[in-house]
Amino acid sequence: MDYIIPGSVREIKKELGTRPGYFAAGCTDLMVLKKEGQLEDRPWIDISRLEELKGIRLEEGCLRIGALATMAELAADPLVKEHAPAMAAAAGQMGSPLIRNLATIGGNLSNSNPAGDTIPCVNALDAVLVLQKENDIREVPAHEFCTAPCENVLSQGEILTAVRIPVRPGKSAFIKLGPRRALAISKVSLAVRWVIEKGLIEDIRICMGAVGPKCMRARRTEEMMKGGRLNAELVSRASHMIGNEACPIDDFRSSETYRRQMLGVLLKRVF
Amino acid sequence: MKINFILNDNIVNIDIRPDKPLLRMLREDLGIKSVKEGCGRGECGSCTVLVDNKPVASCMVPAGQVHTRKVTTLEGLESSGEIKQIQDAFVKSGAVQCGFCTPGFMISAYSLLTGNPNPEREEIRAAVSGNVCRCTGYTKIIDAIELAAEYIRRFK
Repeated sequence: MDYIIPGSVREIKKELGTRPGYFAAGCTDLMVLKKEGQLEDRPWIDISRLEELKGIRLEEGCLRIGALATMAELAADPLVKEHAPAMAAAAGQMGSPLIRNLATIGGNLSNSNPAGDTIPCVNALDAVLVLQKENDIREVPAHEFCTAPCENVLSQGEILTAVRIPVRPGKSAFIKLGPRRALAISKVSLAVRWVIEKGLIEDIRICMGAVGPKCMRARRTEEMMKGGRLNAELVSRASHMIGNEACPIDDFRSSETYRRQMLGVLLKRVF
Repeated sequence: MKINFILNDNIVNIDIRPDKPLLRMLREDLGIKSVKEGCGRGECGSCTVLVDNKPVASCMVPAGQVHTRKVTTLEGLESSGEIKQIQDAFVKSGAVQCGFCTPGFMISAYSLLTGNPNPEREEIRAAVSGNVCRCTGYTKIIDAIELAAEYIRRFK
């Protein structure tokens, strides 16, 4: 097999040429696909040692998370906990400790699975994803990254190098529903960011995962809540609205009706 | 692909297919049999090992990625006092049924207790959540790890 270990992100395209490849970072999805015989005969590009993809730091008013940051690192990092608590919560619930020590944020985002838990988080937190191919670097707003289930804007030879989350006042939270606490793929997930000013909700963004072909925003619920006082009555009204804003499917993980119902329940649990 | 890494304090040089799971390389090429294949897809934890001192599911790690790293299995921890205390606590608590998952549980317990000598029961549950799959009798395993923590604190 062809196993490429590039010396830098810049070299990836040159090493691959026109071939499609599989990026190997945490490998927690790749190795499952391999076991299931779902991989084609393509080269693997082992990016797990690229220092330029590591690290979590504050930079130009943003929290910059390198694509190789693992779920365990995200869950424990003081900067992530302070500036992106939704992301820390999502990362801390994903898989199990044995998976969280391997799985990376770059992999979770780049797989673009509709049930990927970091996706509603980057949407709620209004993040920008940094993509690179050779010397070309572009920044894509989180909501433009995924295009369909398991599809995104990355082109051949291009990789996601970092996530930039603007540091802003306000709170954020993530909550998910799965069949068990560990190793559960979300049936429904919610990431919410909100700002309270003088007792009123000045801004709110509600992002729903696993209830549509890609992450969806509950815009009507957001509008209804904006300007209101965050109390049990408002949350109750919102929880009745939110289920109608998703377009979930019936599948082996859950049913459409249940998913709509649970969006309301999860929204109540957030607040 | 030729790789070299540290396995239980010994340097290993081996020519291996880089996408072979670390689990299979340990069992088939290096004779390490404490590492078990349950599901082979990261969900059961029977193949838990330490890579650079962090517990991971070795079925999820391609052999090419352990080049220059440090891999520790239960065999490599035999001389550590902690593992002896954990073993004793598992026996004392009756925390072993067929034993297939036990090495994985012990590695996760070792990893927890070396960083947190006095864990709450909830912390123990979280630490072994990747090892729990579909058997029963987990309460005794939680009891055992609680007891092991006590043994280790006393032993130190």
